[in-house]
Amino acid sequence: MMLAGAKALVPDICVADSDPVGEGDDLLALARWAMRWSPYCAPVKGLEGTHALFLDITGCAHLFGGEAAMLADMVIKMQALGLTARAACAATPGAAFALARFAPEARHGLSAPDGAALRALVGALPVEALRLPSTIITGLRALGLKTIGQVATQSSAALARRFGIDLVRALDRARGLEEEAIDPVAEIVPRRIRLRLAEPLMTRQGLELAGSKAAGEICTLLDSYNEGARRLVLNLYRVDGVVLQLVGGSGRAHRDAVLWAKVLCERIEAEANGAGLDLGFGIDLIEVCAPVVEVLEGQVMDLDPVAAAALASADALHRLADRLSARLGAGRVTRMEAVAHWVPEQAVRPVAFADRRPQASRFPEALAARRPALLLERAEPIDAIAEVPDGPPRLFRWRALAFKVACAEGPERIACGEAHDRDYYRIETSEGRRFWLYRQGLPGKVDHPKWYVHGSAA
Amino acid sequence: MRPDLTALRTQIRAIETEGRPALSCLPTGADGLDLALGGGLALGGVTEVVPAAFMDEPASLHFAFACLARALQQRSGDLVVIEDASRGPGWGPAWGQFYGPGLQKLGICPSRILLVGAPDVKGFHACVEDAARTFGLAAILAVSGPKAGFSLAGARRVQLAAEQAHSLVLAVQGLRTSAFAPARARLVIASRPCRPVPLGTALPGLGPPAWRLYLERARNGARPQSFDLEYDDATHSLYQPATLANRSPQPHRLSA
Repeated sequence: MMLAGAKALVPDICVADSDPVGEGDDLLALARWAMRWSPYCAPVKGLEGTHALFLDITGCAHLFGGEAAMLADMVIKMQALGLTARAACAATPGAAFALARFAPEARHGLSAPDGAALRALVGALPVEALRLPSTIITGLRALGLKTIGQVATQSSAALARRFGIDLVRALDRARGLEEEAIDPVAEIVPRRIRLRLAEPLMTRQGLELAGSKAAGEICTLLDSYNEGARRLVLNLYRVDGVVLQLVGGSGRAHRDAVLWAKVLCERIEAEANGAGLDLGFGIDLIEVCAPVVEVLEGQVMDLDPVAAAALASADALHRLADRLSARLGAGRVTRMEAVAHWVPEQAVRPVAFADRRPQASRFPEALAARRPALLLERAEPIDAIAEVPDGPPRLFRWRALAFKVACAEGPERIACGEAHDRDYYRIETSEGRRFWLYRQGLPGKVDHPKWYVHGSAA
Repeated sequence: MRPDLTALRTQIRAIETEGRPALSCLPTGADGLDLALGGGLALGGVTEVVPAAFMDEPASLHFAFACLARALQQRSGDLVVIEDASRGPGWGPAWGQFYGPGLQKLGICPSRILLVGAPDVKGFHACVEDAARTFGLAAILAVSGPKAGFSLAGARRVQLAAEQAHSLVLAVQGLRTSAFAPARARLVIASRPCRPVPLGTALPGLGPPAWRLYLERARNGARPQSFDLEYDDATHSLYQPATLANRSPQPHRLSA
């Protein structure tokens, strides 16, 4: 129906533009929320306007009192969110999709049988249930094939020749004969704990308390596996179906409950002070996951006093760095890492302390001997008077100040490709200020080479 | 009746230190400076490093790193460099950021540096205080932004934290930054021409970096005085060049 026709019938009809991107985001949020039933959860991809979720409930159903009870629970919880949901459970995702969409019993949750009974059930459904593009569906209907059962009676070779192999595959999937991989929204984490709360949490203080308790529980869990975590993800499930996610990291793997509690509390505080932590009507489920774990054996502390002091010192640094990373963001607490690169500005890379590899990084001594302590982010052009053809500068003007060069060392030639080759000089001005200058473009190749300041305290 | 002055002084000192351990020092290697500072840079205290002019800001940082190289040789643990990065990393557009190879040349192993960039002045103060309170760090370098320094109360908190954990804190201030009031000493750094190395070229080569240091204020009561200092990259040592050996050539006199 056209919009004009609809408006003629119902004058005060509510009209909104379709928003596929927003719908996709909402579906993703719903998928995260649906992880309360199974960690393997993904929105159905591939078809425009299909709003469906796949959940792999292998090994989960008994926690909710069997498949039928679980499906009923899903439908009721979705209704509480204001959504009309249809749920079905079958041997393959394809069959479950077909049944959920087109079987009338799916309104209250349908738990389908296996084998021939499933094929009979699916066979009665219309061909739209095959999850195929509309061109194929129209083609099937034009041939008078209206249900999946009718299509299945045809020879698969003939179907493949006419409609492509996709139809045959979709048919097998819908009839429970072929498995299908789903791509879950969240990574599968090795260790996780959940804290179900009797009353929704509304305040930050309560949240911090619950976060500390959850940190304690996951550390006990890690302890039993002899593992330590480098990162903890705190998922806060809001009553209205939104999941808030906070991530706390650490420079080394550990399972110290007090430290992890501190890091999580810092993250909660930073989030509340920064973007604002909207708790809505409260948090009813808290989940802490350890996505990255490492084997962590016990350490002998005080046998050797020197080793114990070194260990305590490293420990103190890690605590400080973890605390600051949680407060300021991981990108603001960094180490320098050497990169084997000739271009000076690319020879160093900041690496977040939490992502750092443990080995020491050093620059080649011969190269380091000619480098300044401060490097400008971008080299600044200067006006310089230099010896021709290729000597050091004698006078230069930078930021409206004139400098006279008293001592110079160089050149050090760094090839950056033809006209960009640089000749670096360490110079000292007559007042004793040290700079690192370069000439871009080699004499003889470029008519008027340009001069730049690239660093100070050389 | 005259009160016994010595007894009063002892009493006041006891109130001031409140049973905190006596301060010790880390020698810088330059004998005259160490003597004036009462042994060297204060452990469990803040030493303030200030440039004499705007163009001396790189020199003041250069000197601070030279001192810290010495500290890293003698103390275990890491160097934590905290900067007020509200105007971009390092000293923002003015002088750029700390450069690993250059620091390694001064004798600071880059893998022993932890760089912290605080997004604003408040966060900067909190980070410096937090680091100063941490046991087991080799040293802490706090690099203030060009204008906003420490408030009186903030500076006092950092000083108390440093006393508690016995940490070595160097506060490098901008030229216009307000003074760090409770600092154990205030060192003003000016660039000084180095002793050139004759290479036979038109311009002589660079000698070791040289600075003039004015000891403007010291808690131990040393009078204001100045020192000429140099730093040797090869041995990673700070020293006072021998004035007699390195004096400028005397004009020739004809004998009568």
